[in-house]
Amino acid sequence: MTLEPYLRPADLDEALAALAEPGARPLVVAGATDLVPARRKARLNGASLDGDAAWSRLLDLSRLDDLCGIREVDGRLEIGAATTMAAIARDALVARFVPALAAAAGSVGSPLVRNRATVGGNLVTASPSADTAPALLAADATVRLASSAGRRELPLAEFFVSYRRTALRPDEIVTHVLVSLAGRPAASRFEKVGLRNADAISVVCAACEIELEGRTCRAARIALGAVAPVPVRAFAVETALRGREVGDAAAAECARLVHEHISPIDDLRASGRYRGWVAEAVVARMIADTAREARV
Amino acid sequence: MSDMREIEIEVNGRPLRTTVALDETLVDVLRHKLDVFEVKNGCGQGDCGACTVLLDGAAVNSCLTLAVQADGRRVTTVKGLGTPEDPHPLQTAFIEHGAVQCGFCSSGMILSAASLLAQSAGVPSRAEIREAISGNLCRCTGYTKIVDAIEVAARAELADERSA
Amino acid sequence: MSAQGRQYRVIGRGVPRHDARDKVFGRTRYADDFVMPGTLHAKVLRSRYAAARIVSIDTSTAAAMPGVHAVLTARDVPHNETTSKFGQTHSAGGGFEGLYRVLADKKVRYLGEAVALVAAETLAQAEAAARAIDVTYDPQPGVFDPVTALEPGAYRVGEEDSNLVCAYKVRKGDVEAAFAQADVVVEGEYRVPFGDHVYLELESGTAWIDEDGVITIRASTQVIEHFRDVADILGLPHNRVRVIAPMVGGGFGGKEDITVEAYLALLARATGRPVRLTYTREESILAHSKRHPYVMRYRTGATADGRIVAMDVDMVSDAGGYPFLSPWVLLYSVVMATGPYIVPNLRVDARCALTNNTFTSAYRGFGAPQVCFAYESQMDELAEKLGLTPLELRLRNYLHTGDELGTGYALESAVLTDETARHAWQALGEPTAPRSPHEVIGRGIASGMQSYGRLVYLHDSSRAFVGFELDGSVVVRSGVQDIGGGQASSIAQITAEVLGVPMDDITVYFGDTALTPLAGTTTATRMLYMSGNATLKAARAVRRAVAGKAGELLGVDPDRIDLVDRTARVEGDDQKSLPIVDVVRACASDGIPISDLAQFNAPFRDLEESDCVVGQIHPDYTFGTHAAEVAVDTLTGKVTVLKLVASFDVGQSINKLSAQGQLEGGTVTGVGYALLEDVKMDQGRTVTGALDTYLVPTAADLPDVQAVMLESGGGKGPFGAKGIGEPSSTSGAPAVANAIADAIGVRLKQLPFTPERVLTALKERERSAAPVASER
Repeated sequence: MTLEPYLRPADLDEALAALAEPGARPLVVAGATDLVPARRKARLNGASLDGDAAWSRLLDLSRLDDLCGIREVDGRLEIGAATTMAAIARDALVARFVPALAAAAGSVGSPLVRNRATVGGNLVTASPSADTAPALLAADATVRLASSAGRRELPLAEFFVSYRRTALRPDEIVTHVLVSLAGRPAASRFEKVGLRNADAISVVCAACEIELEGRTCRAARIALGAVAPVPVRAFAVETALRGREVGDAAAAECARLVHEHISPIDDLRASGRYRGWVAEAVVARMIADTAREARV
Repeated sequence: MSDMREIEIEVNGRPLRTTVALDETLVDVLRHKLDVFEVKNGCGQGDCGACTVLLDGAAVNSCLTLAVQADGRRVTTVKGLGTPEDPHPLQTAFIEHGAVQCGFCSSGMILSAASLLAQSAGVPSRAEIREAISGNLCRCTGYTKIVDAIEVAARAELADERSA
Repeated sequence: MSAQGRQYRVIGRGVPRHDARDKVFGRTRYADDFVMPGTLHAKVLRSRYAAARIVSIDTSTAAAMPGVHAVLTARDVPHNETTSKFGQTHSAGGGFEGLYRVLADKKVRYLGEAVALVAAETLAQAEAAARAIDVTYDPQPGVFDPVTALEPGAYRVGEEDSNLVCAYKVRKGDVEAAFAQADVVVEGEYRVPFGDHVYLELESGTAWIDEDGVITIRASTQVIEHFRDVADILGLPHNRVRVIAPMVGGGFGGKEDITVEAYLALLARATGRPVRLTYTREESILAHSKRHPYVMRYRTGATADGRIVAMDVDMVSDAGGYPFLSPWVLLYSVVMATGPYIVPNLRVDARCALTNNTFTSAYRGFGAPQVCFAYESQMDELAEKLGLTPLELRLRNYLHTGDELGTGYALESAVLTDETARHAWQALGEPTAPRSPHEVIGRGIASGMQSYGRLVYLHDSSRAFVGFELDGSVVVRSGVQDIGGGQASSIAQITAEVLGVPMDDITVYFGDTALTPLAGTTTATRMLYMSGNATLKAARAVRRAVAGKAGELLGVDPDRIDLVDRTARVEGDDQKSLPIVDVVRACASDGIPISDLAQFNAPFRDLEESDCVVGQIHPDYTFGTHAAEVAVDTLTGKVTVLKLVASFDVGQSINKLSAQGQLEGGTVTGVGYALLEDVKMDQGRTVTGALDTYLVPTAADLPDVQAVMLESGGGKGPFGAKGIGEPSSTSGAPAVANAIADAIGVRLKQLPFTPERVLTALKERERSAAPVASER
C-alpha cells in the first residue's frame, strides 16, 4: 500500500494520526522557510536525495485552523504554532500583553519571510539565534505538545534541550505557545543586534520584562539568544535586580552578571568577544529602559 | 524517484495545472513548467526577493514556497497586477519616476509594494515603505526612486479612492 | 533649461524609458527567460581546492550516465588557452600577458575554477553526472596574501617563476626633498576587501547552432564582442560565432569577462543541441570575478597653510588565481592615486600579485574606489592636524582645468570639484541631534575622480546606425549592451532630439553581433560617451540629408530647417513646413540616403616610452563629492547612515532621471563597500558563500540619497555629457568613513566598518584614554 505523499489534514487529530502511522513518518511542514533552503543546500552539495526518506512524505500544517490564530483562553494567551510572524507582529492581543514578542516576530527575516514563517517553526528549528525565543522565555511561556497519545505542556525553557535539539518527540507536534496573562501587561523590551536592519541573523538578541513595586524591582526576566547553544535566561541578573531600585547604574552593575549564562562563539558574523560586550551593554540598556517604562 | 503530484494553481486569474515533486519550489514550477518567466530567481533561498509573488494576496518568496503548498491557491504576478492598457498606479509610478534600471528586481519590488498599499489605510511613510520592501534587494537604484514611486502611487490610489 | 542655456526638447529631461515599461509589466525576457525546444542543461564541475595539481580526470562514468550528451575537459577545447596582451603598457617587472584558460589543465589556481563541463537532458542529470566525474587532485600549499606572494620562495600560483602580474610607478618632482620641507606629514595603511557584484540576475545563457551553422550564444553579458574570443577558443573564424545580449539584469563589471559563453559554445557544438547554463547564487559568488583587495600605504605632506607638497603611495593588489583585467585595474589606481588634488611631488609604486584566491577583475570603479578610500582618509587626517575643516583643506588643493595629474596630463574639460564639495556639504543641512545618550553623530565628505572612456591607447571606437523608415518611424541599430543604465534608451533619446520625432517613434535594436553595428563594451563608463557620440553623428548625418531635401522642397537654405514634432519647418516661418514622412519619401525616391552608419573614435594615443606611467591615459574624468551624516551606537558599534548627498558635474544629463539614478545607485554601492560587503576567504575558500552571509544594503539600511547634479556642459560625450556610472560609486565609502571618524574620534583604516570593528576601536580608545585600569 502506497502511503499518501502529501498530506494536508483538515484537523489536528487527522494530523496526529498521520504521525502515529507505522512506516515512513512524514516530514512536518508549515511555513517551510527553514526546511526548503536546507533541502536545497543538501541537493546542491550532492546529497543523494532519492533515498531521503524524510522528504518522501510531507504533512502540511500551514492551513490547520486549530493551529492558526491568537486567542485568550482561560487566563492565557494561546498562540497557534502555525501562526505566521506577520500575524503575530500585528496582533492586538500580542501588542497589548507581550509586546516584546510582537517586536521579535516583526524582526525575523523580511516582510516576505514573515508572511510564511511560523512561531512553531522558529521554536522547533531551535537555532540559538531564534528571535522569538528570548521574548517568549522572558514571558515564562509554555509550549503545548500533542501526539495521538495525548497532550502535554512544557515550560519553554525545558523545550530547548541542547544545540538545535528540542524535547519534541518524533510523533509530536507543537500546537500552541502559551503565555499567562496574570500580571500583564508588564513593561518589556526586545532588542536585536544584527549586521543590517533587515534579513539579518541575530548576532545578539535579548528580551526583558520588569515588574516594579513602587520604585523597587519585584521581578525581572531577562533572556538572550545567539550567545549560547540554546536561548537562555540570565537568572543571575534577575536575582541581582530583585529588591533594588533600577536606575542606569544598577542596570549596568547587574548586567555584568550576564556572563555567567552565556558562552558566545566566534563565527562568520562576529567574535565571541564582541558578543560578550554587546550582550552586557544591551542588557544594561534594556533593563534601564524597561524600568523607566515601568515607572511611568 | 520522488512522487509526482498534480496541482492546480490560479495564476493571474487563469487556472494552470502541472505535476510537481514534493520538494519542488513554486518559483521553479512557475518559471520552468508554466512559463511564468516574469517571476525571477536571484538566490533560491529567500534573501533577495526577486521571486516575490502574491500568494492569496500576501507577498511571499516563491523560492521558499513549496509548489504543493500553492495547490488550489491564487498567485498574482506583475502581469496580474496591471497591463499597459490598464496599469496599476505602481507600474505607472515606477515608469514615470525612474524607479526601474535593470528591472530584474522590479517584478518582485512592485508586488511587495502592492501588498503594502493594500494593507495601508492612508499613505505610508517613507520609513514604512522602506520596511515593506526590505526583503527586495536592488543593486542599481539605491532605492530612493523606488520609494518615491511607491509614495506617489499610494497618493494616487488614495486620490482615486476619494474621488470614487 | 540645460547647461550653457541651450534649450533642448528631450535632452536633459526625465523622459520615461521604453524598457521601463516592458520591465514593470513583466514582459522583458532576460537570458534565462527564453524557451527553446530540445534545450539541454549544462553544469560546470569546479575545483574543490584553491591550489592543486590535477593528477587525472576520469569522465567515463559520467559520460555513460542517463541523459548525458557530453562531458568535456581541457583536452576537448581546441584552444584552451589564450593570452591577451595588455596593450603596450610598460611594466617594471612580471609578465604582461593575461592568460585566459577555459578549463583547468594540469593545475587549479583557485577554488571554484572550472574543471569540466556536462550537458544533459535535465539539470538533475547534469548535476549528477558532474558529481560522477572522478578528478584526482594533488593539493598544494598555495599562497593567499598578495604581499606574501611577492616574497622570494612563495608558492608559484601560475607557470611563471614570479607571482608578480605587473608593476607600475609614477615619479614627479622630488618627493623626499618635499617631505623634508613639509610642515605636516600624515601616514597610514589602508585595506579594502574582496567584493561581489551581486547583480540580481545570475550569469546565464543559451547557445545553439543556427540554420546556417553559426554558433549563436544568447548571454547576460556586458561585452558581446567576446564572440571573437569564443571563435578563437573553438578554432572558428570570427564571422561564424554570434553573441546576443538581451536586457541584462545588472553587470557592474562582473559580466565584463567571459562567464558562460565559451562553455555553452563548446557544449552546443559537441552535442548539436541548444544548451543552457544558469549559475546558482552560490556558484556566482564562488566562481566569478571579484573586486580587488588592496593594501595601500600613503604618506602625505603639506604646508602649514594646507597645501599638499608631496605624496608617497605604495600599493599591492590581489589578482587572485588569474590576471584577467588586473593590470588595467591597477593602472587606473595609479593614475587616480592622488585623487582630484594638485600634488607637485609624487611617488607611486604599485604591484599586483597572483594568489590562490578567487580571481579579481572589473568592478564598478575599476581601481578608483580603493585609492579614493585611502587618499580621502589622508585628506581628513591632514585637515585635523592642520586645524582646518575637511572642506577647507580640500578647497585649497583641488585640481582645475589645465592642472596636471601626477602622470603629467593636463585636464582639458570642466573640473567643478569645488562646487560639488560646497553643494554636498551644504546639502547635509542642520546636524541631527543624538537620539539617545549612547549615540554619537558625525558628518564627512569625500571627493573623487574617475575616468570615463577606455584607456586611450586601446584606440576605442563605437558605431551606430540611424535610419528613417518610409513611414517616418525611426530605427537605431547599435551593439549596445543594456545593463540597466538606460544604454539603449539614451541613444533613442539622442536620436529623438536630433530628428525631432517622439521617443515612441523610435525602435532600438541592440546587442547582436550579427545584426547591430558594434558599439563596444558596456564598461569603463564609456557607453554614453562612445555610442552616444556615434549615434549623434549618425543622426546628424540623417538630419543633414533630410534637412537638405526639405530646404529644396520649401525653397529655403537647409540651415533654416528645424526638425520638430515629426515635421520639417522653417525657422521663423510657421507657415512653411512639411510632414517629415513626406520629406523622407522624397529622399528615398531621389536616391538620397535616409540612414547613416557612423563611427565615433575616442582620442587615440600611443604610450610614451617610459618606465613610468606618463601622459594621457584616459579620454576624460568626472569629478564629484559625496557627503554623509551617520549615527553610531556606542554600545554595539552599529552605524546608521542618516543622510547621503551625491554632488557631481555630469556635463549634461541626457535623461535626468537616469542620471540621478546613477548618482543615487552609485552612492549606495559606496555605502555597501563601507559598512557591509566583504567576501571572506579562508585559505582561498569562500566562506561568505550566499546572500545570508555576504550582505548588501537593503532599503531599511539607507536614507534617501540627495542627488545634486551640476551641468557644466564641459564633457566629451554627446551634448557635453560626462560619464557617471562609475564616478558616482567612487567616493561614497570614504564619505561614510570620514563621517564615522568624525563621530567616534577614531579612524578605522580597513573596510568594511562592521559593528565589531567600530566597537573594538571605541574600546581601544577608551583603554588608551584611561590612565588607570579600573575594570573588575
